[in-house]
This record gives sequence, structure tokens and C-alpha cells, in this order.
Amino acid sequence: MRLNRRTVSLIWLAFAAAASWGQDGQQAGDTNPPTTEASTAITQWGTLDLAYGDWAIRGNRHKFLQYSTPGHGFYIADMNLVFPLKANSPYASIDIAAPGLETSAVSGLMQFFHGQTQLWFNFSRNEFSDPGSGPVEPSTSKLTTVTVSQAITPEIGLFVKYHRDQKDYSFQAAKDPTATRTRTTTASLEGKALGGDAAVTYTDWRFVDMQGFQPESVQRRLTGRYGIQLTPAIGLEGSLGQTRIEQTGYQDSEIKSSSIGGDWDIGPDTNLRFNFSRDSFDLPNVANAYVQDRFNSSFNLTQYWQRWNFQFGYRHRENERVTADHTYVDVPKFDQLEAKATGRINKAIRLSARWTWNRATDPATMDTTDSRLLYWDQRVRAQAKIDANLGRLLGYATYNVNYTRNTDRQVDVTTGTVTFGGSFSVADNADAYFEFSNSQTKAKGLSDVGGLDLDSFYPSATTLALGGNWTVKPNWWLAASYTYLFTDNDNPLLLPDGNFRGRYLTASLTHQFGNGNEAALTVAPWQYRDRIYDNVGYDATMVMLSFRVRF
Amino acid sequence: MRIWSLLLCLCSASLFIGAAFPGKADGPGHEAERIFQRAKAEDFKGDEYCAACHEDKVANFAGSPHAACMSSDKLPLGKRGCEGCHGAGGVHQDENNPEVVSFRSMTPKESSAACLRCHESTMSASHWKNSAHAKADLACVTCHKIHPDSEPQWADSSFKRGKADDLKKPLFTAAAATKSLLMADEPTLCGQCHTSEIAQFRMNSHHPVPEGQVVCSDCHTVHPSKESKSRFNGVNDKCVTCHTEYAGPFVYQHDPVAGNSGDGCLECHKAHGSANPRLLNTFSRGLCAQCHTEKLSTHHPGQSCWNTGCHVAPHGSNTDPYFLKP
Repeated sequence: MRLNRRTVSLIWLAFAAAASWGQDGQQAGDTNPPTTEASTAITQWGTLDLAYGDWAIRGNRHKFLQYSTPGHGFYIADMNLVFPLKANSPYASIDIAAPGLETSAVSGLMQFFHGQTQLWFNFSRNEFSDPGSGPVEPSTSKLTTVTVSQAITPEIGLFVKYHRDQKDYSFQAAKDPTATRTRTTTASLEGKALGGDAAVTYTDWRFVDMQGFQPESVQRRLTGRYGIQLTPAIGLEGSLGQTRIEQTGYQDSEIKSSSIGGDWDIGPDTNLRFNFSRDSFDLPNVANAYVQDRFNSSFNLTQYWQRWNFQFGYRHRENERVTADHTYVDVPKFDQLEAKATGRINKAIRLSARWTWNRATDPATMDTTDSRLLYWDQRVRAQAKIDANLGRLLGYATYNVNYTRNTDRQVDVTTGTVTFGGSFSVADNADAYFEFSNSQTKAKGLSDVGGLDLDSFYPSATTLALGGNWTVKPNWWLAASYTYLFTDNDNPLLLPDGNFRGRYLTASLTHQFGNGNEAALTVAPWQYRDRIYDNVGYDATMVMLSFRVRF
Repeated sequence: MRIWSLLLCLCSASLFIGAAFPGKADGPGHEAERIFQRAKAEDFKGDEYCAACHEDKVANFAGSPHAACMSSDKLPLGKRGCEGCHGAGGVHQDENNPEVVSFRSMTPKESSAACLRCHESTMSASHWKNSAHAKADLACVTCHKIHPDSEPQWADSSFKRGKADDLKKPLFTAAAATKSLLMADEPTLCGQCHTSEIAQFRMNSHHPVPEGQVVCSDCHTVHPSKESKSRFNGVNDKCVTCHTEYAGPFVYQHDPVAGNSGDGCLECHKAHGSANPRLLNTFSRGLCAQCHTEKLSTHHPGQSCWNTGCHVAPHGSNTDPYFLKP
């Protein structure tokens, strides 16, 4: 771990300041010790988190910034305000995170006229990097969402949402950068009607590719839905939808959707749910075979019995396909059976098991050079999960298995994932937790003449997380977590990001003053190593000092 | 024909099961409804009456979004202020048979039914009871807090990762801020039960949930509301909400992207996290070769099929049937 001199000086200065400020609070706390419970009972209308952050990265900076850019320098980490001015008044809350930095967000909620008018807003910006080791410009994503709901009558409401998504992405050579803009406006009127409830929704979706690789696209979608509780035991719901797609330079396309479903309480502990839906596609520009009509049906029977819940389901899907000249090809059909059981073995142990089996009963016809089926024709998914609450020890274990088979091509892929973990109260003032997950995949049946084996492209992956929390003394907390990632990959083509090891330690010391304010120091030495390419990895030592004021 | 036969079988089986396991009769309405029906107009005393004993709770409730909605004089007495949820103060103080609607002490089913007294305007009882969360015996107050100072109490529940105060400790330090009315930030809250998904978010390639750029409810409809029902469902529609550049339709479609086969986007990608770059199911050209088996090594041996300047538009193309150009 290597920190620069400026960071170290700032940490000492800030902690010295916090400690001297904390003296009064601590003395006050001595006479009336503020426990955790007491502090949460403080009626607070806002918090302000001021922070200083430093990363000290050595190596591949882009990998470190793959998903977002953490705060750095002096900044406002978070400011949260609630405005309940007085009883019977408007309500507003606002949250501002890292304003002015590369990754920032502002969100809030406002309610007027006793909640009859509500406004939600969210503005966010995220800056990140394509994770390769070569030179690359930062990518940015800017999101704007504004939603308004208005109660027209006590039983009818209008809902309008505007969303804008601006993406300017840069990639490692030789992939071209992309710049897209998407605007979505949705208006929905919903409420009680004709003894049931109804909704009409209109959506206008516009997509622009600033580079011109894709045509400008507009989708206008109108949907209607009506649901009614016919009897206390039987409910029905139906919907209709139509989408028109306009693409510059192409003919218009159209999608029509309809569905009907419902549920029937056969007894107090027995419920049958069913749904039928159909989607019809008219896509005149599509030049390869595509689905013209899609039909789905599903049934689900739920039975409650003592502390158990059993579910059995069946799904059927038919796809009517047409060729490029839009003549009939075939109707691939798929059946799926589902079963699930959830319940308690005793008061301390809860068990859940689920299983699905999907198979193609009428596989698709392939109009390709190699006419063998390209789709999986069998899939099995199963999960068993157990949770146990044994007082000081809480534990869980999950096992997932996914099996897929392409009979024509004689390919079987089986992935098993085991996850287990738990937490243990070491003492009244300390607890520890851990989590281990390992995923293994086996691909069989394909022998390739070129010497490569499909199985060698399925890596096994392991993640381990462990940590603990310790109340060192009243109002002083120490927390640490360690995450370890490891991939075992044959990687026959010796590509980057295929054989890696990540070690992420994050430790923080927090002190709460008598008035509820907090100071925290977080130190996080992180290491990522690609075992084939040195220049892909990085070492970073993040240091963050934060001060939270409650008011 | 086959479907109708199956439907007939299922209905018959349902009737048989329903008759064989009749269970307990629900009686006239749910618990909260019964307590509200018991109250007379003079039993509703107003918030000040409640504050005499529950001063902190009443003061704190003013910081909840519910407070503004429930303070209107135009609301019926049974939907106003403290008594709008907990029942009339007069019934609570009844000398002979004091009763109050206590959300934490009721069964999850009763507790949720009490919330739906008002929220049925946005989510019907039918939608809620058929949700996976209701079937897992969760109540609204398992995830939502109505009073800003509510402490998470997972009474009689073992599906939590740690002690009851675990929700105060975010699973991911940089997770997005906690939304109002939720007990914790979404990954911390959802991760109490969905443990294997949390493990996937720790992997090398993941949706940026740990970094606070995406939350669980961006993709998952946690409980069906009427508004969300009116949206298009389906795996691919969810993905193109953000990945709009793959919405198409393309002149040359790739079947999985168009939703014509199996699981749509999930045919190639994992939803939460993966050991492979870009959340891929398989590493490098093995991804394409799991279906296009004949192309594993004899077809232009090299790196990934899409990274070597060949199939640069694997999601669909408007100009090339082999996805060699966008």
C-alpha cells in the first residue's frame, strides 16, 4: 500500500480536526451514551456527507474505471434533504450525490395537494472506461427521467414519464466509438371503469444514432388493459397493444399484441393462474426468416399446506415463422414444466427447491449451410436453497444447475454453481460473515477437427467474500471486507481478461459523535491481475475520509 | 387441442386439490378490515390523540411521503393520518377489547391486505397475491418502511444474511442511495434472500449494481403494479430499455436477439455477472461455437468472432447477412 504525502497529511489533519470537534460530543455522550438505537431515533430531516478521496492507481487505470468513476479530491459525497414543512403541507425529498464530478446524480420526489400531484426526477451522469490496456477516451452516459402523476378523481389517475438516455461510448481499438440518443415519453391513464380497472398507455420512443450506422427509429405504442374481479374467487385481465415502427429509409413495421389471463381461488389455500398471449409481427424489411406469430400459454397451480407452498406450472410456446419473402416455413413448439416447493422444515430452517424442464417438441427447420438445429432443444434448470437461523449463526447454501442440450449437434453444456455463506455473532459487539461461490461448467459432445475443444471455452470461476464488524467501544466501529475473485480458464487463444485474480480489501473506521454526526476513514487496497498480460492489471489504494452531518 | 386437454386436467386437479385440502375459511374480510368496520365515527380521534403516547412516532411520520398523502381533510376518517393505517384510536383504547392494526404482528397475508386497503388503486389484490414475493410469505413491511425511523424486524424469518441490523450495512459501499420507503438500498435489501445473485455481482464482469449505476428494480418488476403491467414484458424488452441500440428490427436479425429462440439475450449473456468479459456466458469464440459448432476452430481461426474485425455486429445488421458490418 502506497499513499502519497498529500493524502497522508490530509488524513492526519482531518482526523485531528474531527477528534477535537468530537471531544464535546464525546463528553456529552459520556453523560448520556448515544447507543445505535438512540441515534436512529433522532428525528432528522437531512444529511450532508463531505468527503475527500484519493485512488493512487498504478497500472491499467481503465480497468479500475470500468464501471464508474469514484469521487476524488474534496467533494460532497451525498446530500439528502427532506422538506416536510409542516403538517398538511407539500412534501419533498432530494438526494444529491457527488455534484460536479465525473459520476454524479440528483434525484428527488415532490408531492403537492396531499399527494394528488407527484413529481419524481432523476438526473445522472456516469463516466467510465472501456477496460482494455490501450489508450481510450472516457465513455459517458447521461440519464434524465421525470415522472408526473396526477389524481384526476379519487379513482382515476394520469401518469406521464419522460426519459432521455445519452450515450457516448469509446472503445479500445479497433472498435468504433458510438453515440446514441434515446427519448421515451409515456402517458398512461388508469383507474376504475366498468366495474373493474382499466388503463390506456401511449409510448413514443425515439432513437438516433449520431454516427448514422443505424437508421433513426421511432416506435409508437398504444396499449389498453382491463381487469375485473368477477367473483371474490375469480379475476380476469386482458390487454391489447399495437406498436408502429418507423425507420428512416425503410418501410414501416407493426407489432400487435393481445393477452388474456386470470386467477381462480379454488379454495382458501389453492389458486390456479392462467395466461394466453399472442404477438403478431409484420416486419417487411427483415430479410431472413423470422417469427410472424408467437403464441404463449401458461398455467400455474399454487397450493399452500401448513408451512409449505407448492407450485406446479406448464408453459407452451409456438412460433410461426416465415422466410425472407414472407412465406410460411414452420411452427417450432416448446413445452415447459415447472415445479417449486418452499417452506420450513422447522422454525429455524427454511428450504426452497425449484425445477424447470423445457424442450422443443417441434424443432425449427434450419435454412442454413449446415442444416442441423442451431437452437438448444432441451433445458433443465434446478435450484435448491436452504436458510438456517441458529441463533448466533445464520447460514445459507444454494446449488444451481443449468443443463442445455442440442441433440442434432450433440452438444451438452452443464453448469453447476454452489454458493454458501453466513454470518456469526462472535460477541455482542462483533460479527463476522463470509460467502463462497464456485461455478463449474462442462461442455460435452463436440469433437472439433481443429484441435480446439468447446469445453476449453467454459472457465470455472470462484468468488469469496468475508468480513466483519466490530464495535471497538461505544460510538467507534471498525468494519472490514475482503473479496477475492479467481478464474480458471484454459484460454487456448491467450486473450486478456480470461485468467484473472482480483483481491479487494476495504476497511473503515467510523466514529459517531454525541449529536449523531459521523466521521469515517476508509482505506481500500485493491489489486487486479491478469495472469497472462501484465498491462491489463492494476493496483489501487483508495483512501476516503468522510464526515456526515445530520440535521 | 392438446392445450385444452391439459387445461382441463389442471382444472380437474385443482378442484380435487382444493377439495382435498380445504384449509381454514378466511371469514368476513381480513383482520384490518374487521378492526376498521368495528370503529364508529367518534372513535377516530386524530393524530394528536396518538401523539399523547407515541410522540416520537408521530413526529417522525411527518418525514414520510405517506404523511402528505394522508393529511387531507377530504379523505374518509379511516384513511387519514395515523388512524388511516392503524385503526381508530377509540378502538385501540377500548376498555373491553382494545385492538390496533399492527403490521409487524400480523401474518404477512393480513399485513399486506391492510396496505392494499389504499394501494389497491395501484396494485390489485390479485396482482399481489400472484407475485413471487407474496407466495414466499413476504409482507409489504418486509421491504418497505412507512415511518422513517422504522427498524428492520424480520420477525420469525430466517431469510436474512446476518443480524437484523444487517440492513444498516450496505452490501456494496458505492450502491445507489436508498429510495424513500425502502428499508435499505436495493442490493442490500434484495440480497437478504437473493444471495446467489449477489455473489454474481462480485464477478469480474457485472451490471454496475455494486457501483450504484443500476438497481435491481431497473430490470425486475418487484411487485406487479398496474402501471408496470401496461409495459411490454419479456426478457428482450427489458434489456433494450437501456441497450436501445439493439432494439431493431434489423434487416438481418440474429434469432436470439430478436427473441425467436429460447431465452433471448440470455442465450449469450448472463444477467447479473459473469467471469467472462461483457457478461458473456462463455469465453471468446466458444460463445458462438456452442450453437455454430462447425465454426469453432476451422472457420478463420483467431480470437473472438466479433473482435477481429469480422462479425462486428452480432446483435443484428442492416447491411450484411453475416453481421460483418452494422
